[in-house]
Amino acid sequence: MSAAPFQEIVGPDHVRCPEAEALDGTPVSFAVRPGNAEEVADCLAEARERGFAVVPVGSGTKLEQANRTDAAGVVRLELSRLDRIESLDPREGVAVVQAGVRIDALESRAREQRVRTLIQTPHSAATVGGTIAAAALAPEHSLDRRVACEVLGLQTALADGTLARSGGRVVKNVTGFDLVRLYTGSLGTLGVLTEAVLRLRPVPEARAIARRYYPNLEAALSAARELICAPSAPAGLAVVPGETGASLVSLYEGVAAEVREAVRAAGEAVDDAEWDAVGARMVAPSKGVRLRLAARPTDTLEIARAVEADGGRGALCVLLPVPGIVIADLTVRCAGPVLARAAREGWASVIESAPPEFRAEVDVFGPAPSALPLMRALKSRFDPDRVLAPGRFVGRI
Amino acid sequence: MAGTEAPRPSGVARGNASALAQELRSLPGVVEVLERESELFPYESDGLTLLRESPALVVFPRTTEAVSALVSCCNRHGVPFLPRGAGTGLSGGATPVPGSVLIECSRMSRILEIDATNRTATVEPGLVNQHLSDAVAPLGLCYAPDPSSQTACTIGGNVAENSGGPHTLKYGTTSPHVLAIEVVLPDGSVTTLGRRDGHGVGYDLRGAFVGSEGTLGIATAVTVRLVPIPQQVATLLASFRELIPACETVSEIIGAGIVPAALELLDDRTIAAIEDSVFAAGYPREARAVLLVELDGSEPAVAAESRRLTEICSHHDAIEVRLARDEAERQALWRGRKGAFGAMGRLAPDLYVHDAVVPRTRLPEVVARINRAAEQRGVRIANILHAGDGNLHPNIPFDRRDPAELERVREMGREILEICVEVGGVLSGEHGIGIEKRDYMHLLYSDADLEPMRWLHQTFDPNDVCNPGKVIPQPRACTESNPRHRGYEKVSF
Repeated sequence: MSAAPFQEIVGPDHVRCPEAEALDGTPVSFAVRPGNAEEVADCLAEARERGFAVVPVGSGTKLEQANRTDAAGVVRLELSRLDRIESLDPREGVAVVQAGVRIDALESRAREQRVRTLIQTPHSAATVGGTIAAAALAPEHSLDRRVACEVLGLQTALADGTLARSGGRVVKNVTGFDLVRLYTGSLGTLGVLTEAVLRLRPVPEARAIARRYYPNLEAALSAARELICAPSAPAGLAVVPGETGASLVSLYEGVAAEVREAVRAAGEAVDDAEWDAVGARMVAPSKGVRLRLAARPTDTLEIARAVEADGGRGALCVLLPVPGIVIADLTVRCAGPVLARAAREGWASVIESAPPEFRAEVDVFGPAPSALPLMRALKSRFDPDRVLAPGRFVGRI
Repeated sequence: MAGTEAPRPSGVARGNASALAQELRSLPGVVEVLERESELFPYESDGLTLLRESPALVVFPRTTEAVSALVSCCNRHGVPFLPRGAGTGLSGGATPVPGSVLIECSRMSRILEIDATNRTATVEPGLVNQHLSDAVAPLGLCYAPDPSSQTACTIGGNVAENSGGPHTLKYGTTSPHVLAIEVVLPDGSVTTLGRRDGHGVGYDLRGAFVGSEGTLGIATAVTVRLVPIPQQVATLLASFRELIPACETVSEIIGAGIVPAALELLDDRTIAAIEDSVFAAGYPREARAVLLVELDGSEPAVAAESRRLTEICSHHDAIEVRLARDEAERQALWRGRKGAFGAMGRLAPDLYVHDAVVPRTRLPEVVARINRAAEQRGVRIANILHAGDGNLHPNIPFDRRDPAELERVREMGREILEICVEVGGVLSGEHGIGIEKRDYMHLLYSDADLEPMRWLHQTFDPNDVCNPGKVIPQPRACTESNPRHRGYEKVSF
């Protein structure tokens, strides 16, 4: 196999032919670093022509959060050279960025102009494209404040080597089918994101963190529900189980008087680091199986108990106010029974990281949704030759 | 793949409608079938009344199983079908396809479940939007999307159109409020898109379905998110001597980091129409524009933002900034805004309610350009803007009996879109594309951009049987966007 066609597209300096490199356990035939959207599209056309599977990679923080590809070898398509912030307009509330821009770089540019983006993840090195493709979760997210709500438009390189735009550059838009939602969270299996139009939000006047300890998880969750129902609802809420009892950490944002009052009612004011620690727990390296379980908020206690009952290391944190998410770190031995219980109860489950041999035995995304046949048909339409990360998504699509 | 697909269903042949009606009446859960011309007349159009087409039949199912059976039956007979909510849509999304069966969802209007603790409700598609908020209000909750037609429009229609409304600025359009949808697919099978707890797995087909204008299937149950009724609400009316300073005020409010629940702008022609009507709200007639601003949240937040907002309006030479003193005054201010489209009935027999979005900092320039163009064309424009998110409704009152005026209105409609796209805007903020703007999609998107939309559509509806001919234009090389190719003999806009 020759690297020449890829070298012709991106230049010889941007193609590696690693001998013993693997991407999530699959041998990498070539690692290719295109410099712009057109080169990304050309690489896909070339890969399709030559029968290669392609796995797009941002900063690689979420590569394990997928099934292993069924291809024998892959082209590792690195987006890191697409790192330009094209525009950032605080008055318009819109930023246009290339997919390889790092979240921390974008955040720091935005803050200079007193705006921010909710395209966030606790991985500081994550890229915009990777975060959107994985629909990554941050502790500040809720059902109406998550990655999908913050993407206004996308440019996508499709499997046939064309570039297509979806959405727009305005904050409100119902022009045609909402492909932005479709690409968000599709893990690069429908197309490779090359540029994103993001919503910018004003930096709130005040931000503060409150913490309060409770003797047990149940008491902490009950207190969390009360905070959610208060007139000044928290922007983020996490219950963190400890050796004895659990702490309730809440994030408040808004005008100064409101935040001051809310924090007083929610507990002791603590440093920002306390909130950052919640995110750090979510992504701390795990030697066992890191699970994300989710259901209705009222199911969270039951989920957390199930995690403990199976003798695992227990819940790392429970995210509220609305999502009802439990992040748990389990031993390999305990993870199977917990996943089986989740399937029985109808809880959503995603394996965020696990040893390769464990992931090989299960679907990382849990039991197939009822719409899986439709999803398979969609994948066939978008990627008939299975070029784009084949086998890595739900149902091994 | 296209070569393996069945030919497009041609519709009910003349004379065969009665036989099909009999068959549909026999299906369990079908409560009524209309077939007489006089009965079909009200269903010839939605809110885009200039485009009319009679359906072959109108059918009223009461259950998901009935919808599934109806759809399967249509497939067997090669008859296209489409869903309809209240028919308040404004882009022709519910305009019947020639020879089609129109599936009327108004008899599926039950609230199936309210889960106050988890703040969700599951409802049937024919439930009127306002009725949901009324039902959950005693629990301290509401359904946030509030189209101007919310006392009539249905949740199923809102899902189809991804409807917005004045409070979209803070709460978003319909999509982020929909967690799961039970759908009868175009082949008659039933599936669920998304999950009722909001933790969808796999491709976000729920997100793709919302706003698909009845072309990807028929929603038969919808689980939505409910939000708490805010502790405090303040509604302010700021009036201005000129339109442009009012537009500039909008940009400064957003730039100051204030996110109002609603930020609406009405121009002098709209003010006059409202004040002359039963919806009179006490808007100052001498103003060239008013801003209707609503803040909501906790008491300290609303108090602080009200002060800041008043300062900004004064800085832009507002004639007056008036805070609604009580709920009655607040309701009156909103009655004027929500009744504005009805009030415009005083201006002319017909009204073309236009919808487009521009970057909000371009609003002053765009509104001035549109008004200038209208003047040159001899067309009147009454502007209502969801100004906070750059969403314009330049409404054109006219008389359809005057062919020359009708032609001027058509041309004006196109020019508005051209102006908006030229400055970086889009074709629709909340009304959708339907037939009205289908053939203008090329103003915004190339064929390459549209191709994935076609793939999505073909995935759901390979035989093009479900509300065919809407939203997506044919590739230019194929038909040069000839509307006749899609089965419509007259596309007015």
